[in-house]
Amino acid sequence: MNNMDDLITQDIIKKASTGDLDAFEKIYRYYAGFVFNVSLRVTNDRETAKDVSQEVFLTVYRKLKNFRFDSSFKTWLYRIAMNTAINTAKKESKIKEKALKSHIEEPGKPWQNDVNKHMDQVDNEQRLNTLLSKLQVQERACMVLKHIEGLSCQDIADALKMNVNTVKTKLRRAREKLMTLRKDVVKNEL
Amino acid sequence: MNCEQIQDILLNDYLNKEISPEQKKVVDEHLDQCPTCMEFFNHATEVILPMETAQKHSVPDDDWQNIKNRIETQKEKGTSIFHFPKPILPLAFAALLLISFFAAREFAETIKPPIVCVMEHEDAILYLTDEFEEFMGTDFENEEYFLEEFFL
Repeated sequence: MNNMDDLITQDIIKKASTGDLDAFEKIYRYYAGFVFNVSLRVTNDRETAKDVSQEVFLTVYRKLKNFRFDSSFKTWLYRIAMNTAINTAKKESKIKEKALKSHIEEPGKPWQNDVNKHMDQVDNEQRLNTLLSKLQVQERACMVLKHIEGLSCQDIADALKMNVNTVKTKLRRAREKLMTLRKDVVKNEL
Repeated sequence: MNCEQIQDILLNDYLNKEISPEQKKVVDEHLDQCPTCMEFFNHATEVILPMETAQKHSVPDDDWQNIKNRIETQKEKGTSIFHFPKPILPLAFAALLLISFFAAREFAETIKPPIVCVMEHEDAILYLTDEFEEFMGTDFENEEYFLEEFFL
């Protein structure tokens, strides 16, 4: 993934910016995996991730003619991907919050405990989704880029247009939050 | 370094994998000797392990086809006789602003400014005393008292 920019040459980008769909397909093939996986982890929903992924590439296609090569193409595309994924996740979480509120109001449905009790029984994928769902969207984005995509703190900062120290703080806070959650799960199991 | 400092490094640079070899050596040596920090480290790695070992999902097969279709649909819309190129919108807005500006100026010119009456000092006194007399219902001249003279 580190040499993506070497393979997507300026020539390909310029051709794609004039509307050349073959050139744009090369860009798509290169970045689709990253965009889809990041969208999936940030939104925590496959169908939403599919929509986000399409939205990202349509935005990239539309804005390519404005790309001036002042910054790395990879960083530029990552930023569009993260913005789209984060904004969608925020909207989705508001909808879920509303649904969750009405769910909690119903007696005899301890949703939170159910999640905790099942944490160790479900497979890695479900555990991952549960852990990520406990984080704020920005924290989730930082954790996904760091621990799933393996980006450096500086690359995360560039992709999220944040200060590198803010990224480090968010990563630390996310880890502390997940450790506290883990402790609670262990307590519940005992 | 004490345990608090070690745990701080563990949660930051160590798990970020952005730690100098010298500092990593110090932390590793501490972990070998300190069960409390080792336990803390195990807890911290346990919660990030599902992420580190997460499987990569393959992109849906129809993804590119959907994107391509949407691009082509947008292109078709772009050539429609009812579609206006994007620069037309800022231009139309600028034109509207200009029209509004000139219309407002025209309107401002039609409003007459308030009449400012400039009186000489003496005339002003006479006018004010007349007004005062009328208001009081008194003719000061008949009473051999000329208010004007008092002021003038």
